[in-house]
Amino acid sequence: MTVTNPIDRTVQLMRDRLSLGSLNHEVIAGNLANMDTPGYQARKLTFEESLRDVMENGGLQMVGTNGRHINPTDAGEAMRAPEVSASGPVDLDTEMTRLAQNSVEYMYMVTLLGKKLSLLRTVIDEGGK
Amino acid sequence: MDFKTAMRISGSGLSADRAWVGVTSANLANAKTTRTESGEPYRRRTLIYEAVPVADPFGAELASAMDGEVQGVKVVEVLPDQRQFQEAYDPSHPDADDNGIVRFPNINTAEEMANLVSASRSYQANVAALDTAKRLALKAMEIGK
Repeated sequence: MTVTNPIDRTVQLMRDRLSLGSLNHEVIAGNLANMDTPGYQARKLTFEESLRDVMENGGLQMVGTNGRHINPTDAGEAMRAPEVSASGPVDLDTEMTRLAQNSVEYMYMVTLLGKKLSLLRTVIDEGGK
Repeated sequence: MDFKTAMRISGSGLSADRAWVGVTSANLANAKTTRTESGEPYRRRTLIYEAVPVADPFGAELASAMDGEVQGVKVVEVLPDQRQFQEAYDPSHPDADDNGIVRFPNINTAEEMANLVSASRSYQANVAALDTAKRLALKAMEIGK
C-alpha cells in the first residue's frame, strides 16, 4: 500500500469493507443454518466498533510516508482483523435484521465504489484534453 | 471468504430443514400406525442437527482466522423417540391386547404441526439468506460498470 497509488486509500477502504460485507453475510448465513442446532452459539462479526474508533481518532487523515513519522493508525487495519465472537442462542429477528442491513450496506458500498471509479475514469478520459 | 461459501452454508441449512420436514411428515403420516416390522407401534422419529465446518474444495486458500468459526449445519442422525406409547381402550381394534388396550404411536399431532411450522420458517430464513447472497454477488458484478 503506497501513497503514490493513483487508486487511493478510499478505494482500498471500500474494497476491505466489501470483503467484510461478504464475510459478515457468511456469519449470518451460518447462524441461520444453525438456528435449530442444539447448543449452537450465534456468531457475530465485530469490526464496526474498532473501525469507528479508528475513524474518530483521525486515522484517515494521517498517512505515514516516512519511517520517522509517528505511527499512523490505519483504518483499514481495523477491517482486516475482524473478530468473530459468540453471543448466545440464535435470534431469528436479529439475524434477519443483520442480513438486511448487511445487504443494504454492501450494495451502498458497491454503488459508492462505482462512483469513485467513474470519477477516476473521468480524470483519465478528460484530463489530457 | 466469498458468496459461494455463504451459499453453501445456506444450502446446508436448506437440506437439513428439508430433512426435518420429511421426518415430521413421516411422524404425522404414521400418527395412528399400530404395526411396524418390529411388531411395535410406529415410534416417533426425531433428528439431530450438528454444526459442521463448511466443506470447501478450495479450503486451503481460504484458510484464515475465520476457519471453524463460520459453520454450516448437518443432520447427523435420525433417532427414535423413547417416550411411552399412547394407550387407548378399544377392544374392537384388531391390535388390542387381551385387556382391550391398543398401543398407539408416541406422537402428538399438535407437536408435529408446530415442528412443521418451525421447519418451514427456518427453511424460509435460509432461502432469504441464499437469495441475499445471490443478489450481493450479482451486485458485485456492477463494480466498475
